[in-house]
Amino acid sequence: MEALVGQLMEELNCEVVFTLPILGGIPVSEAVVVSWIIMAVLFLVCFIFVRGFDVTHPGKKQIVLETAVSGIYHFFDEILGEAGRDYVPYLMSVAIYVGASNLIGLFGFKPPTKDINVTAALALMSIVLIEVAGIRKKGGKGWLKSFAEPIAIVAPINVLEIFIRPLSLCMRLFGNVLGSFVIMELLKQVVPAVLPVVFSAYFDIFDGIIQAYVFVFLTALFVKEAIE
Amino acid sequence: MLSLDGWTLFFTVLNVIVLFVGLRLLLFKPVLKIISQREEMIKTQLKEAAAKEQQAEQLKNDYQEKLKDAGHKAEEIIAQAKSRAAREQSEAAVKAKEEAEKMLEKAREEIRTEQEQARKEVQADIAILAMEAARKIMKTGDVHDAAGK
Repeated sequence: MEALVGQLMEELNCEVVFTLPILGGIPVSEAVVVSWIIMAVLFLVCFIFVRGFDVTHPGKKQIVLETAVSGIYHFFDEILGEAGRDYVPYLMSVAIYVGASNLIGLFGFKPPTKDINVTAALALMSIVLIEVAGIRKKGGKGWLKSFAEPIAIVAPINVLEIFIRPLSLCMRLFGNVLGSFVIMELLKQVVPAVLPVVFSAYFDIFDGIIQAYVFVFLTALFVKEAIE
Repeated sequence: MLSLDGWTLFFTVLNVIVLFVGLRLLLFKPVLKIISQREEMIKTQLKEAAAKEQQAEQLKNDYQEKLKDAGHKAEEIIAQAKSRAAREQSEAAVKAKEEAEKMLEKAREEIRTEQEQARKEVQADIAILAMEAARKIMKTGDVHDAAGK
């Protein structure tokens, strides 16, 4: 039991992989390294696949990739509409990043989204995007006024939302990924073979994709709300 | 796990920005460009196809018109030929009739002249005969003889 707990704690820890020897040593955590790996793989895949693309004679890979990209694009485009078209590529990037991060547990890496700092950063960027979209659409004054809508008395709640939204985004993603990670690690300790595959299909793939979806979907909804 | 760590936060923000720029450059822009190019191409091709169809339709109509015209012309030509043939036929009939009449007239004329001639000849013969008879009478002096002979 002691050993199990020890192992589990080790898995749960987000270790510092190495320290950059500048500015008095910058610690680089596992989540960041895994993120770099994800980014490198994504860039490489994009670079290899997209290079051979053809307008008139698309291959199978091209069709799959085009369908995926245009599918995600239209998903966000439908939520945001004409006015929010500028924010679609960012949301697509975050969707791909969060999705890949949640699924990378399948390859034996610790998902970066298991680190609360990663989800916190993503949530911070989301709230910045939401408020910037609001300011761009309504102007500084209009944006400030929008806090008093529909009536002035709800203004404190609207201000609170600036903090609540990223917090809930951050915690939801972090909690889901951490939870499924813990369950999977426990399962692997108890039953090392076969059974984890079944649960992995749910916790890693299904939940991972759902959480990525929820994160970007909510961000898109908030942006939509801000630019309305 | 739950400890807030500014560097990871910072790196993640940086990572997401880099990923956004990179994916935009490597994936979204080229793929969406290709899709829009294809859409554009399909649109122009559809337009061209519609134009060609219209052209073909017009050509078809033209040909049908021409065919109809040709049919009309053929009918006209046939009608003309028929009427000409009929005219010629009637003309020929009239001519033949005229000719026949002419010939008949001529024949009648001939008959008449021949009759005249015959009459003149007979008259001359009678005169000769009368003179002959008179001569004979004068020779024999017998009227009866001459008459009886």
